Amino acid sequence: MKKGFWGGVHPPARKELTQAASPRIIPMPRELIFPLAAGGGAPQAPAVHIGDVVCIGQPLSLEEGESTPLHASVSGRVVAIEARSHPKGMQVHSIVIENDHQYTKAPSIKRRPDAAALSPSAIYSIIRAAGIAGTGGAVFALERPIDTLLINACECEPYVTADDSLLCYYTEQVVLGIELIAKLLRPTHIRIAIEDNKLAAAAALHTHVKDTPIAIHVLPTRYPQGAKEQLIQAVTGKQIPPGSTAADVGCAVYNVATCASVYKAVYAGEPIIKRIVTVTGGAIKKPENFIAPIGTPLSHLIEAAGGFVRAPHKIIAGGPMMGVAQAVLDAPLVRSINAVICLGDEDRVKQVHPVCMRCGKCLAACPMHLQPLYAYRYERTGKPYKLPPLHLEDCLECGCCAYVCPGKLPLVEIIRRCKQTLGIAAREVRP
Amino acid sequence: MTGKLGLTINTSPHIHSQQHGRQIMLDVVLALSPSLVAACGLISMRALLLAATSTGACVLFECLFCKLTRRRNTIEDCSAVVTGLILAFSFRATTPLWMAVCGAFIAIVLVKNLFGGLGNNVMNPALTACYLTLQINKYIVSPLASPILSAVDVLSAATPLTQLKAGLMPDASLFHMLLEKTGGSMGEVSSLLLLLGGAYLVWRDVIKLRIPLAYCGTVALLTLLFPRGHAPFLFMLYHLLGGSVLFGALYVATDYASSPVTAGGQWLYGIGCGVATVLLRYYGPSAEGVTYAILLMNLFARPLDRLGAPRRFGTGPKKRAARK
Repeated sequence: MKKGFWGGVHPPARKELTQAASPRIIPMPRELIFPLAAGGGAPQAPAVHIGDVVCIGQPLSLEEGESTPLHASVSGRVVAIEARSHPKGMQVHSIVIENDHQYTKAPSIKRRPDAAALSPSAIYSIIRAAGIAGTGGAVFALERPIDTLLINACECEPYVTADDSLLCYYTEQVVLGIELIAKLLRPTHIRIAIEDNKLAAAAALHTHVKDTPIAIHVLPTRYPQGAKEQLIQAVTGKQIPPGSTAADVGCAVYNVATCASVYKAVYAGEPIIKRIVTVTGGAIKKPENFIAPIGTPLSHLIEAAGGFVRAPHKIIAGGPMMGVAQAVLDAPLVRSINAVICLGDEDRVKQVHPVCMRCGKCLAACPMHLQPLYAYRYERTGKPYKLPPLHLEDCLECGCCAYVCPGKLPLVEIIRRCKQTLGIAAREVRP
Repeated sequence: MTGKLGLTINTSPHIHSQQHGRQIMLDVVLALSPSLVAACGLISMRALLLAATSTGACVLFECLFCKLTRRRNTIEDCSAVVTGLILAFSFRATTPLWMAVCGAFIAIVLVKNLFGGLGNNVMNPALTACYLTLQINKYIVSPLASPILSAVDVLSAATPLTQLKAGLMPDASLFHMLLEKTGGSMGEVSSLLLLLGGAYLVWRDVIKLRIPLAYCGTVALLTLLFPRGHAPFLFMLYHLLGGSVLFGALYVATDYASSPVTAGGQWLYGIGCGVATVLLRYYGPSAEGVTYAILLMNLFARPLDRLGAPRRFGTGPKKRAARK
C-alpha cells in the first residue's frame, strides 16, 4: 500500500474522549475578548469606541489592505480596548465586550434566498467581508483555474475532534460551502481527504456527496496527514517545490471548518462569530465538543467542561503537536483555535537530560525530508555556516522529530532557534 | 519553565513517544540474552562470567570517567551495559578475563567517552576494543607471558571459514552452523537466536532493516556469484552462517553513532560492509573479514550520510498520483 508521504508519526489519537456526542452550545460567557492582531502582527484599528453598544456580527475592526475584519460574536457594550493575553502567549491590543445576553443580531445577518444563484464575484466579496481567510494563508481569488480543490477533513492532531463533529452533525453546511468555493475557483476535480479514524464522518459525507462531483479519499491515519504539503502529496502524488505554493501544483486546500464558514456567510449572512472547539485531555472532568462564540476566555471553556479532575501539568491551545502551551487561562478563543487540551501529569516527559544518540529516528519521521539531528549538532558545535544546506526553511514545525526522539531533545525549539539565527521567518501556525 | 498556575510552558510538541534511550538499550540486551544463554549452555558457563566481567568493567570505567572528568554520571542510559555485552560476544568463551577488562577500558574510555560520549563515537566501541585487545595480547602480552604458546587467535582451529577459504566444503553441517556453532566467538553460537533477536529489535523499532539486509544481501550475492568450489548455493549459505556476519550485521554495524542515519547512507554502508567482508575473506590474510570491514566502513559513515542525504521536498522527479 502506497504510503503517501515519507515519515510522520502515530501518536495515540485519544479521540474517543470526545468523539461520541454532538457538539453542545456552551453557556454564554460574561465577558468576551477580541484581539485586534493575529498575534505577532501589527494590530488593526478598532472600528468601535469604549462605551459603544454592539450587536452580533458588527465589524469591530477596520478593514485595511489584506487583513480580514473581526466581528462581534455577542451583543453588548464595549468596556475596554486594552492589552490582553493572546493564546499565542503575548499581550495584544484587544476589544473587550461585556455580554448583555440579549443576542441582538446585526441587520446583515439574515438568510439569503438567492444564495445558490449568486455570481462568483458576489460570493467573493461576501467571503472577504465576513472575515474568512483560508487556513495556511490560502486565499479565495486565484488568477488561474486550478486542477484540484482539496478539502482537508483529516484533523490529524491527536485529541481534537472539532472537524469530526462538524462533519458528522453539520455535513450539509460543509458540502454546500464546498460547492460555493468550487463556483469561485472552477476546479477540474473536487476531492475531500479524510483519515480512516473518522469513518462515521466519512459515511455522513458519502450520503451528502452522492450526486455531486465531489470524491472522497479515505487516507491512512498518520500525523501530519492534514498538513498542506503532505495532503497534496498523498492525494495527487505531487510535492510542492521549494518556494512554490499549492496553486503552483494546481491545488487549493481548504479546511472543512472554512467551508462551513463560507456556507454561513453566503446563505445566512453570518460572519465568523462562533466555532466548534474540543475541550479535552486527561485533566478535564467531562471532555466535550462545544460550539462557543469567538472571544470566549479559555477559562470559561474549561469550566463548561466540568473543570479539572486533577491538577493539569500543561494546558494547550490548539493540538498537542503544534499548539501553544498556556501560562494563564484568560486568553480568548480566536478563530484559529480548534481545541483546548489539559494534559495531566501522566503526559509529562520524565527524562531530564536530553541527549542525541544519532539514532536517526528524527530523520525517518520528518515529513519534509529534513535532518533535524544535524541542525542540533551544527548549532551545538557553533557552526551556523553549515545550517543553510539543511534547508530549514522547509520545516513545518510539525513536531514529528521531537515527538519521536528517544533522547527527548527539544528539536522544534532548536530548529526555531536556528531559523532565527538564519533570519528565516517561522512557519505560520496552522489551526 | 512553569507559569503562575504551576503549568509547564515550553514549545510544541507537547506529547512525546514513550520510547526512551534506556529502553532501547535494554531492548538490545534482551535481544542478546537468548544467544548468551545458548553460549552458556553449548560452550560453558564461563560465557556468563566473561559477559558479567565485561559488562561490569564497562559500567565501572564509565562511572570512573564521569567522576574524574567531573561530568554527570551517564551509566543510567545503560549504553555501557550494551557495549559490555557486545564486547563479550566478540570474544571466545575461553578468553582470559583481563582481556575483557582491557577491552572495556578501550571501548568506554578511549573510543566512546573521549570522543564525546553517547552518540558521538566515530568507531564502534566494542568492535574496536575487541580488535585492539587481541592485537595487544598477540604482540605484547603473549610473547612476554609465554613465548612458546601461540596467542589466542581467531584462526587457531580449523574453522568452517578457514576450510571455505582453502576451497573445501566445511565438515560441519548447515544445521550445526545454524544452531550450535561453537568454534568461534561467543556471539556466533546460535545464528537462529541471533536472527530472532534481530527480528525483535526490528519489531521494537530499535534498528532498521536496511543495514542488515544490505550487508547480508551483498555477502550472499557476492558469494553466490563468485564461489570457490562447486556448489555456489551451499557456499553462500556457509559464508552467511560462518564467522560473525549475522552478529556483525544485526548488532555491530547497526550501532547508532558509528553508522549513517540517512536511508541512502545506510544502504551504501551495508553494501560497503558486505563488499569489504567478502574481499577480505577471499583475499585478506585471515579467513574472517567482518571486524575489519565494519571498522573500515565506520570511517565512511558520515561521508555516506551526506552522499545518501534525502532529496529536498519538492525537488524529486514527478511521481504518479497515489490515487486516481
